[in-house]
Amino acid sequence: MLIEGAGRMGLSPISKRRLHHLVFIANALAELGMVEAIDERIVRFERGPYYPDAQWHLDRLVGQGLAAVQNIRYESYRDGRWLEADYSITSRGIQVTEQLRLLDEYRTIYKYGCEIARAFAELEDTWADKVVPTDLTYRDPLCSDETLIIFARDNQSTSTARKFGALVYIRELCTNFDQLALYLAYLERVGLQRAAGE
Amino acid sequence: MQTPLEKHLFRTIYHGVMEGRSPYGATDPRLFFDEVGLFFSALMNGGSAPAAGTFAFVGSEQPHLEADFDQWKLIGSLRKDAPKLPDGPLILCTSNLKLALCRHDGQMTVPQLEARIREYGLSDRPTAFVIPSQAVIIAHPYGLDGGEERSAIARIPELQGIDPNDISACIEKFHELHTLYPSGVGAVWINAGKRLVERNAERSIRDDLYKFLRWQILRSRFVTREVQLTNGRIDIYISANSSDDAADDKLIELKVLRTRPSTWTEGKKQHSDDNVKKYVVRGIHQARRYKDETKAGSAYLCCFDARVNNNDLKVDRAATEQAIIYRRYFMESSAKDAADEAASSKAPSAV
Repeated sequence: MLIEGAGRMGLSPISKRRLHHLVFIANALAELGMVEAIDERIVRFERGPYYPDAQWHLDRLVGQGLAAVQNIRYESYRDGRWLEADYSITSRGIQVTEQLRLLDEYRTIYKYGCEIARAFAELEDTWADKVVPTDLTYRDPLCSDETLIIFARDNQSTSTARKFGALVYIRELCTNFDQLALYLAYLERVGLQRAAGE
Repeated sequence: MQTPLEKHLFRTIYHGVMEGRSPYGATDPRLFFDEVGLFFSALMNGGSAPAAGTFAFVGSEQPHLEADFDQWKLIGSLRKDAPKLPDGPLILCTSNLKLALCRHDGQMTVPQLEARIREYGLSDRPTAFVIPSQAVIIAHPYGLDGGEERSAIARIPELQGIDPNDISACIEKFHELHTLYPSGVGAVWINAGKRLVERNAERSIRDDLYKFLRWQILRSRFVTREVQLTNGRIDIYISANSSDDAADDKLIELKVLRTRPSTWTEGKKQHSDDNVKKYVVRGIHQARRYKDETKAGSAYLCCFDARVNNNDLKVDRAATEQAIIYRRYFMESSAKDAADEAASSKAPSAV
């Protein structure tokens, strides 16, 4: 659903790293999308979030012909080598998501996936991959790199995003999805300010 | 008193609004036309746009899966570089204009672009023609072959001179652009000769007015529509950039006045002016309720008049008592109406 949403919002083909960022945002802000988080635990790495289970499913989608992979390459980080690749949805994948959208239980998830992709697409390309490391949950000061972060539904990311709604006195002016988009824009701005200060 | 975090968050909201974040959801097809409108607005503000040729924006849900993807040249995002003119007149793009591709087919007119879109097999896609020289966008929500339904919105350079705080002047200009005969771009008439408007005329006018306010004038404010309150829905609400003071906010309630229902035929019953007047007075009270609930600084009741006769309804006193700013705009449907309206010294009537 996220890969389809990414294509729809002009992010396709999406890099593996960026896709895991989207998965992290989807999990951290699941409450705003009124969906269940897939995984509320993440190991913090320098290069950004990585979900082994999500990667397994992603590779399986490629094997089934529902997603395409291209531009496979290796990148080096302090914590080791990293296999990078770009993913996009295929025509067959579109047919499957169209069928899934007909089911009530997937419609909400699909919409949420698209909204995350849209909010992410609003960010400057050069900053999009640096947004998650500034996230309040991911950069929890009590955790260091290569430690497990366990977060609940009412985590700091969600409560900060909710703050946007509280600042607007007419609730309809700032929907859950607006809060999501504004939270990512906020992270981008915080990142820019930090970079300017360094 | 706002905390430093709240101030920071508020600035983020403010910038989000200034950057033109759409109120629609990512899967809402209206997003595409809204983004094209924002692009168009930025293009016009860039200054050189009137000299540019016509563009056709064709929406694609997954551009990389288009059959002839290799034939298109990648432009990238039109969001951040909005004032930059694309190289080609035919632009294939995602609904948020994040990924846009173009074809170098030379300058073309709208009919030529239509023929090219059909040739490429894209006639079922949402399409928007942007004509900078005429300051017009023509939108085909269901594609060129998707039916007759289409809408157009115009923007003229003189709008720059209108004071954003002067809502009356803004709506007056909207009335000229949208409903003035024969140059108005609104499409609400079923039968202009018999003065029959569509059943959903109010919705159509509301959506066009919303786009007009949002694209053209009130870029420093937050314009929203269909705001749900406990006692109804406000058609258009314009909030200031301050979160805790509604004194500068404005709300607009729209009504379409009819003598004849949309299904009217010769000999059938018509609405009397007395009944229409009662309808307007109810609208005044409705606007007052919304004003009380939102604490907005001012409330407007704007009546777009599609009645047979252009006579005053004499609701001035009721409006003054309720502190509502009442405006009536007679929608001309013939050259004679337009001439009469021009000859009238107080057209359109306003309190």
